[in-house]
Amino acid sequence: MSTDKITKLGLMLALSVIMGYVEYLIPLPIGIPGVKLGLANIVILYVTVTCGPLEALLILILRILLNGFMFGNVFSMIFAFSGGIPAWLGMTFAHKFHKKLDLSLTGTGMIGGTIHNIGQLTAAVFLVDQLKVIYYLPILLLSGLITGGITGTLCMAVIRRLPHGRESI
Amino acid sequence: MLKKGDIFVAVIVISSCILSSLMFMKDAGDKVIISAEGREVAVCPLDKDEVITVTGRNGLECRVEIRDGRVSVVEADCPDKLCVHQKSVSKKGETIVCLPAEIVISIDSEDEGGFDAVTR
Repeated sequence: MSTDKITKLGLMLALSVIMGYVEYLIPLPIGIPGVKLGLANIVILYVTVTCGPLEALLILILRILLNGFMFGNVFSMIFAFSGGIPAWLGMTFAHKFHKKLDLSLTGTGMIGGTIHNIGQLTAAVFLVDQLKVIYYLPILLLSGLITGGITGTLCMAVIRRLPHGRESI
Repeated sequence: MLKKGDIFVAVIVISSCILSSLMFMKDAGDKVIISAEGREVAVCPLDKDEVITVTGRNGLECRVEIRDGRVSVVEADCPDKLCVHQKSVSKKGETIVCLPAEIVISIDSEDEGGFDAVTR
């Protein structure tokens, strides 16, 4: 890994940790657990597009570990992983085939947000041991779609304003 | 701007959202709880056809019928007969109330839901 890349990824990691913390400070006034903006997803999506999926996975894992040890606990880490890893996988595939599927980053973000919430809900079903948690599915699908669309669009807006950004999306 | 694929994703997710919420809405209860003057007087399974006569306040009587998984009041002594005119109920949380007799018929299900953990 070149120094250039290490620097860039370090910056991205710091940014994604801060995004997670900012989000923790301003919860959405909806009152449904699991509904959140997913600001850190902007960074993951950005790294997926500009550096590559493996680099994004690295940032994702490190971010979850850092955030978990600093502000969370074991459970919050498990939830973060069960949402983050599937979402990363989904966004990686979506971005890989985005030309064939005619997807912009908004759609890629939507896929990521929705899969993230499905993953977290699945984890919740097992951890809480209550199948009834599944009743959250409709609202979580919708919120994942909306927040994922927002973060994807933001990510696209950022990349468009960067030099050589337009070619990468 | 949105591309064709984005709209496709949105349509799929929204339709599965609607589908799943429709699925969960049919949350049928499985027991009928009848209370009179604040006291629980009878708990009956919803799947067994039965007619129960309950005596409430001032000796007013209600005849509660359970048939085909639905509960309704078929006859009542109360002056306004509002309870008789109410639609039959079958889903968890639905109720029929007879105010003059202080009789409340509500549907509940056996397995208590209730979330006991919150995640952020």
